[in-house]
Amino acid sequence: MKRKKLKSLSEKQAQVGRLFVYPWLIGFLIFFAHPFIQSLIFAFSELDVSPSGLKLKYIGLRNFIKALQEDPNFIQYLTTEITNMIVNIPLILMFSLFIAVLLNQKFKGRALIRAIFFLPVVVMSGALLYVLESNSLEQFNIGAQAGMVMSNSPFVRGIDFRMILMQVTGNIPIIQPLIHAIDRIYEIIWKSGVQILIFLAGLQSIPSSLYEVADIEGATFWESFWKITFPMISPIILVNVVYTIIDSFTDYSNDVLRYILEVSFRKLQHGYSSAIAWLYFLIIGIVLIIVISIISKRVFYMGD
Amino acid sequence: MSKEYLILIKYKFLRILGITFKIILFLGLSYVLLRPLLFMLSTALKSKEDLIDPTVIWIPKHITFENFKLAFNSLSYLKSFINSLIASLIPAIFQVISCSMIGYGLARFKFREREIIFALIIFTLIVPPQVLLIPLYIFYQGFDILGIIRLLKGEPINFLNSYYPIILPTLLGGGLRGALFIYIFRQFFRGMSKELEEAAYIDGCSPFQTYLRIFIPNSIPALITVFLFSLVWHWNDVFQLSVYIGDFDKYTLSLNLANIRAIITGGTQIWDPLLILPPQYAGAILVIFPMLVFYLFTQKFFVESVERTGIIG
Repeated sequence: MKRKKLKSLSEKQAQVGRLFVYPWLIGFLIFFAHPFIQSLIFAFSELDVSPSGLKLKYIGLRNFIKALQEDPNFIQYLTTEITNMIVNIPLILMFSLFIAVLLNQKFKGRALIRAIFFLPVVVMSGALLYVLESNSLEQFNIGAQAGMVMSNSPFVRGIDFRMILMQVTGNIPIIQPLIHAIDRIYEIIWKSGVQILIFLAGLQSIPSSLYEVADIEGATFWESFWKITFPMISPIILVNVVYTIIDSFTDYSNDVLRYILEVSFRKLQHGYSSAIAWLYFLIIGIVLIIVISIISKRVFYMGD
Repeated sequence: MSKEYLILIKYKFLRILGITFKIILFLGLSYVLLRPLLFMLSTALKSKEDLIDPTVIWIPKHITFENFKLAFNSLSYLKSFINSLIASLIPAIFQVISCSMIGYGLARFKFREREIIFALIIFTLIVPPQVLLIPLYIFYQGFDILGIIRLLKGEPINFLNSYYPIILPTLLGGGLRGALFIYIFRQFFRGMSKELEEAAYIDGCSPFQTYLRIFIPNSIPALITVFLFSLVWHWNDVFQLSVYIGDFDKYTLSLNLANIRAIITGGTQIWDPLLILPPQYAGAILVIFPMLVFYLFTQKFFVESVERTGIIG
């Protein structure tokens, strides 16, 4: 009894804090750490799931070698997914920052415009995108069949514009992904809802006194954007880059994700699919580390 | 004319130009954002004659609800609506409760391993769900923790084909993007004033009472934001459910939507886009409709609260 009384206030505080936080740790151990380690073991083995239980056979690096050298699909899906991501991320970021800056100003009808812009956050889902996208090819057919206008796809597509660009640039391979990005412009707009929200929250946290000072000194909007908004918002750019990368590889319309599901639930190669998932995770991890280390050097923190 | 007057005109001209530019931009982008929805709606309302009639572009001449009826039946709407509600409302409520408590613990108390735990929470965000997929599948197939359930019931429980795999982790602050919600709550609680908390302690509140009576009533925006996000993301989620649920009776709306073509065609490969697409679009509208209504009523909270939450801190 006496020892309990001797506990300092900070120790008591720590006890209470632990009481609040430790449930998460239990959940983490059961629903995260355990499967996480198990999946690493699976990746190095051949796995048979039968009603009687699991059969594990250690086969070393075979699964990884298979993924990188033998499987024709994996590398292809991976490269398309990653190039898509690399092209999409700067576009999503630029677009969402631009829109956030505009939406941050006061004007009539702002509430309506905001409601429209955050609509994708609510409505957008893998299933919906799948329904919409899987039809674009057939749309073309319908159009041909019934003599309808070709632009009758649910999304606005820049087909004509793309053709012109292709002719002008003469089909240079480096520009190809960019031209395809124009084709995906609806996807970019539809995917940047959360990013706009995060940027808006960031813009709100910039003290208005900074802009007042700039105004008095005679800075234009353009100048104050690059000298105040951009540096102040740079930590949030980092947050958004990380969010966008994570979002793009947990999306249901992601080819690699669907391939992993297919391998494990149609072809029943559970060990192999774990290996692919781990490879994907490692590659994304490397991308994340590179991106974070590049950006975080340039990030400006107030008060540093 | 004086020089000042010219400058004034120039300034006004530039202002009007800027406003016009903004209006055009917003109109254009709103069109891009709303077009898929409007297009789906108009196609779903078109009758067969309208679909092949080149003079009908947006407004159908013969409005029909056949497509909606077909989609309604193909989705087995009422049943899957209730399924969707179970699979999204319960996890959302649990996530709000558990994540707010964990966020409170992380924000308001100091203990040695706090930063490590926070780093672990962020780490769970970065790991793609595919990595955990198969072990979790096996885990839920023979659900058992440290052999306790085997001891009580004689055999492990099979949780596949039920919503437990989605609900259980949310009880302990995990689940669909649980880490993100903990992060939001932590940021929000960290920004609240110390005076209120101290006043509560002086009045004899226990830490839990302080959380319940001081922190919860003062963080309504954060609670609403997290609840909305959680509800909507669970509603739209296909990935988790498609893995754990195989029984058609337990399919949610989004799961049915992902398979709607197969349901409409009855599994055959022969189909005509003119027959398939309109009901498919009608189905998509029916699935997003509840969330759309929900969003219309709460969008004010949604937008303003995210700003006030200060997700970034």
